[in-house]
Amino acid sequence: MDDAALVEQFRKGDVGAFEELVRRYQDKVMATCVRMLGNHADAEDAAQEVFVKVYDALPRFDPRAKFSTWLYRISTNHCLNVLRARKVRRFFSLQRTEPEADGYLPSAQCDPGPGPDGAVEQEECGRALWKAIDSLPESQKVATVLARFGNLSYAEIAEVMETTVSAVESILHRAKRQLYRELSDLLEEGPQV
Amino acid sequence: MTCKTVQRRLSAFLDGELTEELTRQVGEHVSRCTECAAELARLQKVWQLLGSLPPVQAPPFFATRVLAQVKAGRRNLVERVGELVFARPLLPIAVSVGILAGVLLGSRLGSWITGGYRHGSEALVTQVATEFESFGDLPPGSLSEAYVTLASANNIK
Ligand SMILES: [Zn+2]
Repeated sequence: MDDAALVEQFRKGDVGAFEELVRRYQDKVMATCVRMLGNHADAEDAAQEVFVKVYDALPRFDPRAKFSTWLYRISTNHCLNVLRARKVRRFFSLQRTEPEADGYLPSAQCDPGPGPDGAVEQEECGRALWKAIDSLPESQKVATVLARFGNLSYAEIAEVMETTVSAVESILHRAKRQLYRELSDLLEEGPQV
Repeated sequence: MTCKTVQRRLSAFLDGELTEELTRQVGEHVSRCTECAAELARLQKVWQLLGSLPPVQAPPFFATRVLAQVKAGRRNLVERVGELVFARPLLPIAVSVGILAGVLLGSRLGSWITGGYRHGSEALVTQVATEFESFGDLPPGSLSEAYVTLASANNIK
């Protein structure tokens, strides 16, 4: 059964159809949230909140729209709100410590080198990756996460972000350059990609 | 194509988002311009580094927890609004599942110990339903009731 049919079933009152939509998209929403928020604990809370929002809003969902596009829009907007709240807390020094970036380890390119420094290097590499993504302006962050971790096409990203394909192209171009600047040390000194 | 024009299209070139004609033009330029080739390599490196991150999966029972949350959320909302229609006390899902699991286990053990004086899943469901009744009246519309209905309807095996 395709998404549209499930949405229709749910609108008729079938909660099982909603459950099927959750199962179908839970990994994708979770991945979006981990890459935007940097750790699994925050991402899990966010992903749950996203689906609760979807449940509440689905009766008003325009059936002509694509469900996945709408879901990605809710997910990324929700994560941006979480990040903004985080910033506010940091500004008022309510939260001094940075959240642990646990979604970034281990990775093939963060392979620990030989010797006792390996684990530290790997941890630093993971943290650097998260910091690089976190350093991006909001639109670049959203486009990067959707393109790289959601495997969305530029046209799909444009739909999610309610912009044009050429705007997405330019956003992603700037994002990649910024990411390279942030990670150049790692990319030039670390293991070859 | 100038270097500036090419460099602006490199990201889309990498992602396979250019038209065939533009892909050909950019590819041709990059093959003979070291500066643009170096820029392409940089973008490619950083994109591959991000792509090397491990895939993410939702934790076990994620969907179950979402459903519990929407049910609880709806109850809270309804309670706030004060609509009595839905404001019946709902047992938490965990309790209902616990009771059902307990009854099922008990029934299975029971029929195993008594040498299976009743056979088949139909008998089991009858047992389950009977034992559920002994818990007293279940509030209509409650989860416990829903589980009993489910258990009776689905011939749990
Ligand atoms: Zn050039």
